[in-house]
Amino acid sequence: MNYINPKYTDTKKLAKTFTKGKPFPYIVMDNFFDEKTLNRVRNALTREHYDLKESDLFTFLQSRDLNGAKDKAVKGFVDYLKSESFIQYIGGLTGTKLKKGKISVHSTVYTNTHYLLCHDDELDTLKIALMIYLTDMKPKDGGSLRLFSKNGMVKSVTPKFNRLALFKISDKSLHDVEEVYTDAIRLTLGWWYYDQ
Amino acid sequence: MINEYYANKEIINMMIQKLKKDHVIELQQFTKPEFAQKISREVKKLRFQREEKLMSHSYGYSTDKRVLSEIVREIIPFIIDIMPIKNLDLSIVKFEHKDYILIHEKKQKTFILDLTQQWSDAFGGQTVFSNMKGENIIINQKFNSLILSDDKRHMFIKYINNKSKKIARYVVVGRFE
Repeated sequence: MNYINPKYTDTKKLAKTFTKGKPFPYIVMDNFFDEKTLNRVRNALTREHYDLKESDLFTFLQSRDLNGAKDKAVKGFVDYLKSESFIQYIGGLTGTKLKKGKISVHSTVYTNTHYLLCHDDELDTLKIALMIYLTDMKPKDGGSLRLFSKNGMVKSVTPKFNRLALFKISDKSLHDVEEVYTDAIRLTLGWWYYDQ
Repeated sequence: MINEYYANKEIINMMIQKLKKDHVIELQQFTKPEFAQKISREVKKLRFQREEKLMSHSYGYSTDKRVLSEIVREIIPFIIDIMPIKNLDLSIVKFEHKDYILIHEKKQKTFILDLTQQWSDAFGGQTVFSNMKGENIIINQKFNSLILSDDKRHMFIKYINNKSKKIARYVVVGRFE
């Protein structure tokens, strides 16, 4: 079982792009997973229950931890993200040693007025943050992932179905999710790998 | 110029007790309406300096001496009856779309006088006091209300969202020891 688009199998080339990422190591890959599989996952996630999450940093809707997902499509996909082969692939691409079989994984929905303010994700032993976009948005909708240096925004990633964005977590990995300005729905599956 | 209801020893004692118990009190219709309206009009005419620190806050502020001296004269004596004030840091703050204040590591005694006449809870901008254990005291904006907190909870101001359009929220914020 391999859901990765064959054009992304050469991790050496991708690792160079990742390492050179500014303001911190990151990579964005379009049409990353098998489209049929991801469509099934998206459809299942639209049926998930979402709770409103709010703090000083954010307002958005989030599913429960999908490690316990019962839906066949979601469970199968989460198992794949936890598989040794996929974790090895991400470890190779990012040049990091990742803990086997352990991820935190949630689906999130942002719609009008939802946002995530700037933070670095540096918690416990989190090492790599990843998100796969499950809906298309236009720049005017907001909802972009934005990467910051100390001097301001350096990179903005607009949500697009089957676009994978991942970055290395450190005290430099400042990022936010721009507020959603319209009634467009920003549905993503986000997960984190841990340090070995 | 504070509402006479609050200038009563029994009420002040009740507020001291409530502050000890809840760590935050909100006093609605705190000043006489004409005073709040006058200050509100003056504040809208001020020039605000923007301050944006990604991991901390984003807002405009003014330290206009004329407005702040009126606040000091009319409001500070009342607060001193409830809790002592040392090293007061006072400013007028303007919140617009995309502004916020995040939780700071340092907890401070704070008062906030609201001077916004046109606002909706849907715009965000709520004043929230958190014990960092998931228990939040959320205070929606009310014109001419005074929020007073001790230093037992962390304060933040929710992000102001796009529903606010060009409407701004004005407050006088005092932080002290």
